[in-house]
Amino acid sequence: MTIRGGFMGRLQGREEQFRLRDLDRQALRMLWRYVKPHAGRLALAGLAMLGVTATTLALPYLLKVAVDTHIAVGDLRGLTWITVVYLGVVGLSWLAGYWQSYLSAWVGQHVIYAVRADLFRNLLRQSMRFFEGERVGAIASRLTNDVDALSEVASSTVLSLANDVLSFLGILIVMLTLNVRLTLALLVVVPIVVVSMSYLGKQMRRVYWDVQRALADVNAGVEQGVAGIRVVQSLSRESFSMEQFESLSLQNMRANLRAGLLFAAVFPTMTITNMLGMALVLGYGGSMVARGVLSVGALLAFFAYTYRLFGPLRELSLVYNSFQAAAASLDRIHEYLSLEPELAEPADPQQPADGWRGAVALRDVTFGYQADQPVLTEVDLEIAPGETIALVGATGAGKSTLSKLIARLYDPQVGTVTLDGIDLRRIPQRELHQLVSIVPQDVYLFADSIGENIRYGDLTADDDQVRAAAQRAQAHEFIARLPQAYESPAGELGAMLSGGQKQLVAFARALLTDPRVLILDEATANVDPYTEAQLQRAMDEIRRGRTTILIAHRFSTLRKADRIVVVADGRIAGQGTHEELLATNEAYQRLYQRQWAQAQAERS
Amino acid sequence: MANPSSAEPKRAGPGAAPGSGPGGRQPGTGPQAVGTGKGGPGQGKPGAGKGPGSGPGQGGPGSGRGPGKPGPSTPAWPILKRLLGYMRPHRAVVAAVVAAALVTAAIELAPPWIVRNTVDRLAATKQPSVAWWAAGGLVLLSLLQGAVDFARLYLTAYTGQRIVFEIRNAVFGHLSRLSFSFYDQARTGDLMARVTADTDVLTNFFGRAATILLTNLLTLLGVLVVLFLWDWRLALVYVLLSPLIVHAQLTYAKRVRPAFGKVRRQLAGLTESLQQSLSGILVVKLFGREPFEQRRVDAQSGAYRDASIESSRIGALWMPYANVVMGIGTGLVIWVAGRGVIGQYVSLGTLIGFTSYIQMLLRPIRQTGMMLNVVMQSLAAAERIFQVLDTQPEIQDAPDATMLPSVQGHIRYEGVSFAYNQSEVDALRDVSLEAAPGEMVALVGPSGAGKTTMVHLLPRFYDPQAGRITIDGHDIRHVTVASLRDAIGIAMQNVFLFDASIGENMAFGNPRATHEEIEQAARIVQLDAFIQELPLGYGTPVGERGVRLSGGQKQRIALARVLLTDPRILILDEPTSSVDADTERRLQAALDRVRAGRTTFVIAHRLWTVQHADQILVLRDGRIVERARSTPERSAHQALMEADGFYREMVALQFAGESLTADAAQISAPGVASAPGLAPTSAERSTP
Repeated sequence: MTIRGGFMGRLQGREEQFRLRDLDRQALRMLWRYVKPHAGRLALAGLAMLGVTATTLALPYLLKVAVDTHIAVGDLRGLTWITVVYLGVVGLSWLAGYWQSYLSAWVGQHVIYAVRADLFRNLLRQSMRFFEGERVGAIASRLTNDVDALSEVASSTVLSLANDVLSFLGILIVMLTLNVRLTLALLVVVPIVVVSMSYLGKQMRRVYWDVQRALADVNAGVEQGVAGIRVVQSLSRESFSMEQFESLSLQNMRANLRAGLLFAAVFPTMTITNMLGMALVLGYGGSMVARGVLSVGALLAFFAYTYRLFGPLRELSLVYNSFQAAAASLDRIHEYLSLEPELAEPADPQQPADGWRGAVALRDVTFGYQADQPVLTEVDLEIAPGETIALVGATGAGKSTLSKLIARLYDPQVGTVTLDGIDLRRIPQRELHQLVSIVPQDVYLFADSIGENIRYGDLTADDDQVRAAAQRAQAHEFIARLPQAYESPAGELGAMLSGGQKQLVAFARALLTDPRVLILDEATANVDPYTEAQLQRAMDEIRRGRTTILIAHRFSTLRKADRIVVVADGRIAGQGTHEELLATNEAYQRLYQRQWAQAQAERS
Repeated sequence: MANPSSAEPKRAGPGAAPGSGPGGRQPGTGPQAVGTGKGGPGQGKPGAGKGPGSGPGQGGPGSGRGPGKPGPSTPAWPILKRLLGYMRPHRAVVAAVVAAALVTAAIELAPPWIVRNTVDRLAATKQPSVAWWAAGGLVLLSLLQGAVDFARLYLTAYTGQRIVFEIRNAVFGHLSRLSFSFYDQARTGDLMARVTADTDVLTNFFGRAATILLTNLLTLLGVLVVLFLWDWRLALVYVLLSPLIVHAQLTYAKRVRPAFGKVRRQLAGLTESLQQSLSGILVVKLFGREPFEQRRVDAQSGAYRDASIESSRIGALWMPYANVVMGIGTGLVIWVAGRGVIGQYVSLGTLIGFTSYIQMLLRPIRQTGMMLNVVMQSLAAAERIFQVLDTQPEIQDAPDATMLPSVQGHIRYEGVSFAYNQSEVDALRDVSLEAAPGEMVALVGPSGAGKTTMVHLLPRFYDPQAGRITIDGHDIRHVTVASLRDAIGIAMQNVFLFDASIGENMAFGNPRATHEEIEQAARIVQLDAFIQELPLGYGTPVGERGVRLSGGQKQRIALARVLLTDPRILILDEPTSSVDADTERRLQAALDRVRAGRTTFVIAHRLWTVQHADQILVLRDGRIVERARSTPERSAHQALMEADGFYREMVALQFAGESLTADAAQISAPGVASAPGLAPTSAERSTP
């Protein structure tokens, strides 16, 4: 569940919020950069906010005026007039509230839209190393949940907070002008409200966190149960699966009951503190009315103000927590925004004088995903334009890594990789990706139609070109048989298409890009003889006229190559034709014995 | 004036509604509080593409795998009745809650009355002590109300949680009984939403909506009664306000709620499009499509922004509506009651008391609208839940089902036909076979020919539409499903491992397996060395938190899981498809030993792996088009090669792809005499 998953991401950061956390000054400055263009609207929202505060203050005062100066003296005309004013102020407060909320939401949403766009842009600039180190869910959560949390800080919370503070102070001042002693007496209740609410608020967050975690566990349990249902049923383990789920479900219920207990306490606490204030006004104020020190209208106004006083106070007591969460989000966003891409764009891009031909060379290349653990060591390799080479070697020997360096998904720590004599670091990445393409072993299809997935290779291609590419890649036959042919949604087909068929789609995609250098990482999984034959035919078609690097697992694939390059332990252990290598190269002989020879023999 | 109108927790989200957003700024329990994007009705289905899915092409290309679409909406009343039925076992608690609600409503009515009498008394007697006595009374009342509220709220939450706990377990339990055909159509994400999100919505129904609606209704009625007792003219003001009150609640349901629903859908869309770009980041980079992805995400983000602004606008307009109604009410009261005070037929105390009643309306107005929404949402959620509960498992024990006695492994398929959907072409057409105990039967043929379908009928994952299947002469429909499946071990094509340790995964089918047995199974599947090298060994968790396994390793763990159940009948559906050639050979050798004494079905693409099969059945388009049985003189493989039919064509195709040195003719072992009885019957060959 997308949204659910997002919740978890947010909660992972939530543990921090119980600590005091300083808003990073740099992060705040960054935020201001985004808010600044909307300063005008923000100011208008502030103005509307002042209107809200003013009307909040005015309404109870109008009540007092109505009672003391009109009703008490029997002024009917005045009463009607003040009633009209009262209704007018109600309307005004609606209007002001509308503009305050609307404008601040507008600003907030535009700010986070811009933040999200920049954030995503910066993420796309990062190298694969970054993405391999992070989980998709965690990144997506930063882009959605954290950014959304920011919108609160950006506008609405700040304004509402200001509103709360102003209202609280304003009401206090008006009350003081009405009656100092009653106001001071009322202030006794303030610490009770603040302490109880901030305590409960804190507890509520903690409990909420537990509830979310328990719910996430239930979710995970359901996912396991449902996704693995075939296994469960085939092994008749339904009761076991049920027991496991029930224990998760029970934990979830317990967490919820703890939350329920707390919530059951919150509501009465508020009732009681409210009533305490009211009782004070009635008792103390009432006795002052009896002594003639306070007018009945003022008493009425005090009732209304008391009840308006506690609302903002409660908000202010609770708001601290939510600010902590927003601050944590802001920090996380700032961290992503200030990431520098590992693979820099060239300052002085170069081009070969006679166009791109597809000559690849690695010189003295050493590389490791961690600098101290080299995967490739001092690799030298030259590939002529149009040549087909096969990289062979045991799992983990470094074949895939080698191909990733040629596509510049990483830069080597030592040595250079060149295309037509030009260092890859001197070629703009966009251009390079048009020139060098990889068909990976595990093909990823976007949740779009099959046709769009192919078109991904060249967004300008029309339907005929897509179809032609599919035909050349042998993919047309099975696509045409799908219920909606090229319109079939690839996401839902994910489970339905075999690995071989997905790879045919990837071939078609690569054909549309028409790169100078193509790297094919052959799937290890076995496919049925028909698909296998298609893959082989497609492979012949797609490598025509370009430099091709095959990461070979099948003997037949290996035999297509002009030259076989043996990779062992991160080094090039030998090069040549199958016959040459079989005759002279020890590493190849071992490999051949282990991987292919016996299978060949068993067939005969 | 002691009214708790705003006493409602403004940030009630966290505690009140588990799973709601972390509290909004909107007053009251805010729209966010009612389930922030948790799969309410009509929400975008997350987890698309995670559907369990049968094997590639198993159901034929046309197999409808849409989401479990809810049927046409049934009337609300039966659903509501059925929901309320869940309260029956908790009658005593429910009665207590109702009593508490009555007390709460009564206490709530008291403070304005006290204020009114006090003000009037003060005006008459000028005795300050009257005010203090009244204040003391208010405090006592508030304490009483607090205690009653606490009990009421907790009891309600408790009941709600209990009921939802029961419903959730029932749904999950029911799901584990539903058959494969159900899961072919359903999506994991959708089902997950029903078990968690939908049941969670019900928490709000049982835990809050019912009691709050009841209390509010009582309060609103109570105020009306009191006002008529005080002065009928004031009561009329109240009656005049009621259309506005109703309007406020309807507006909330009709405008605010849908706007927030739209925001949630857009957010789901945004999250999905982000997930996509990030999951496919390698492809994005390889094709230099960053600007394209940027535009795509920005467009989604923009749509989300606009929906958010629009919902804020609607919210900004209508959320304060309750306040506006209250303001209008107060203004009217001042005017009407003020005239009464001047005309001396209304007391000043009544005026003040009435203004408090009006302010007291704020909460019921706000809450009722929201709670009605909770009820509507709950009905939608309940409908989705009941749909699951009402789905009958297709495969059930027959009423007179017996235990399958100890199995020899003699299996017969007699004229079996099967289609996944009535509308679709048959996946299997008139298939017959007989396997003697201990025999190895190989099923070969192109993808989608019906091989997997055929073996899925044996453990009754599906029942055939025609024909029957027997084990040792027992029709499998007349034995219990559990005993049938206990006798059969099936290694399925799509491997699924649980989020548990390697050892737990292996022992899943046989929890009594000893460590020695687990290690032995690991040796058979050629994984013991690998596992021993792991720091945590068999305790290593599988998946993101533990070791990242290759496809081949997962496949072999799943195979070990099946072997540990020691089944009499073993079904291997492409057991080595993701395993590298070297391991495959060693694994094949080990499997040959395991197979001894068990009736075994093997589905394989690499034809050389089935050369030693006792029987080979060639399937194409749901029919057996060629078949052969080994004799002492000639293997089934040889017989089929000599027959020079579809099988030989496949072998040739495969070896053309796999080998340049050995051609098909060499493998076909010429010189072995043809045995006429074993030649494929060409009559069985179907035209595609």
